[in-house]
Amino acid sequence: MIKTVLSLCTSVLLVISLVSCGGVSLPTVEESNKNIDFYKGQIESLEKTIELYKPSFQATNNIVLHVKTSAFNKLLRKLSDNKREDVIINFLQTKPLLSQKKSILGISYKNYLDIDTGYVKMDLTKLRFIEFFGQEIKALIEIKGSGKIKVSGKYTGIPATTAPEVSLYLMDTVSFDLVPSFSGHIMLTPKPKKLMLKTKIKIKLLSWKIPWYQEIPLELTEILDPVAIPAAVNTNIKFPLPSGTKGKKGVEYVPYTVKFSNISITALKEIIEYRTDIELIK
Amino acid sequence: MRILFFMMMLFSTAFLFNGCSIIKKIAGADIDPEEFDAHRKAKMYEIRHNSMMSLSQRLLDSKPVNDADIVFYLNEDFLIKILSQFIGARGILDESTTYIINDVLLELDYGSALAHFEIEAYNESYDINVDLKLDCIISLKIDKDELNLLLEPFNISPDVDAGGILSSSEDLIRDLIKINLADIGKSLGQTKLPIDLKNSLDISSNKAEVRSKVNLDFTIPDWKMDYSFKLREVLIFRDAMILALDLNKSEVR
Repeated sequence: MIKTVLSLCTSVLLVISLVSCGGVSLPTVEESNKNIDFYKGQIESLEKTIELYKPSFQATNNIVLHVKTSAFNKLLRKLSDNKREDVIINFLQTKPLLSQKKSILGISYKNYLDIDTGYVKMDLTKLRFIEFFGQEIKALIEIKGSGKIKVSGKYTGIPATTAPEVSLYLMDTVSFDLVPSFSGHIMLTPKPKKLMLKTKIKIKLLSWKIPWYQEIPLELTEILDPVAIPAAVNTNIKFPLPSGTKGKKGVEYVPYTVKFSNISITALKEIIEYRTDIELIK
Repeated sequence: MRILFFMMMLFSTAFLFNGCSIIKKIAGADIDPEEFDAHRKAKMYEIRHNSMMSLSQRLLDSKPVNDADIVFYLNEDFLIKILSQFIGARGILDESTTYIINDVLLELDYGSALAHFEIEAYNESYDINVDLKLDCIISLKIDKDELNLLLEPFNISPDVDAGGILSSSEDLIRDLIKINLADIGKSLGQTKLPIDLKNSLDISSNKAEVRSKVNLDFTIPDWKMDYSFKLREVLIFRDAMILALDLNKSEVR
């Protein structure tokens, strides 16, 4: 009886010890293989669907960036809709702006008009990209404004001054070359072009009424430098590498420079494509 | 009395020693490399399946994939270059165990991107090295206007190809496998990708002097515009990861 009780207790203890053995519980090999077979079948049919509907692209460079031209135009519209002064025209002294030689009863005299000073604010009312081809983009630009200038002169020998209204207007298409840069920007370099600033002044000096109109040529490359548009890629990053210092868990951020190479930019039908390879340098 | 004393001794002995160690020595090894390998493979298939299912449902949606304002295509080589920076990195698993990352393999598939780390752990107490495989899901996350690549460990297992050494380090392996994967994940950190979600467009001021029939200065003042993008979606294919972003805010300063 005692021997039986003893054996029973020993077995119970052994069982408890076995059960208390906390190992890592895994499915059996057979169970895992069964799961693998199930998923394999499902994956085959999913692959077919994906192959049929996946978008086509050529990711031959490390980074390929497609920017919709409509996205560019959204930004440009923000610029043109903004109520700040976009262009400032300072009229400097111009002597004479107009001059007329007259004679009455053999007496000669000169009517003349000078611009003394003037300040006009112009507003950019339209700026958008309209054509894209290869390495070139065409944009439509419209600027308009009006203001007052101070003029003085003589009419029939009588000096006078007045402040007539001047209106200015410019609308034209301009072209930019798309140039890649190694700093992660898309450079828009304006192509040389003479833009005509249409200038209209309705002058009334005493009883002298002069509608004055002039087209003033402006060289585009003189009023606009190449513009660097960020291609949303960075040249500096920090890598979180595990801290190998004893007693110190966590990460240490190591700075790296991103070097760009094999860069190309192309204007396609409705997108601008920017391609680059990268090299990470510690 | 003698019987009672004997029973008490038996109880105490059982609890005094680690029950597992005693039983292991009697019953043999409790780590089956084949089980680990099969389980690991099954997990990979499960992840691949679930990811493919999501991607397939997305593609069947009528909305075009490349309809976003900006689309980035990051190819396989780009991701390999990012992950390669971890090779040779050393970290800490616990007070007596350090590790070195010997290799990282990228597995890009439809809907999923996985990183397989081959790490060698060294335990000071046991004075041995153990080869482990750490499998992570690669995902992207936006944190404070930065686009980050995250490595989320989902599996750690002994490297069955290493063979031999397993039998002498089972206790260590068991302990390593039970390590909190979230802790390892933190030591891998999040890598900020070289993609800027916040940008600034600066057009510098310029002046043209006209000296002809009219004298005037034509001046364009500085134009500054800040703009940012928001991530619409990330889609993973076998040769590239596609990031679709939309213009979010823009402001002229």
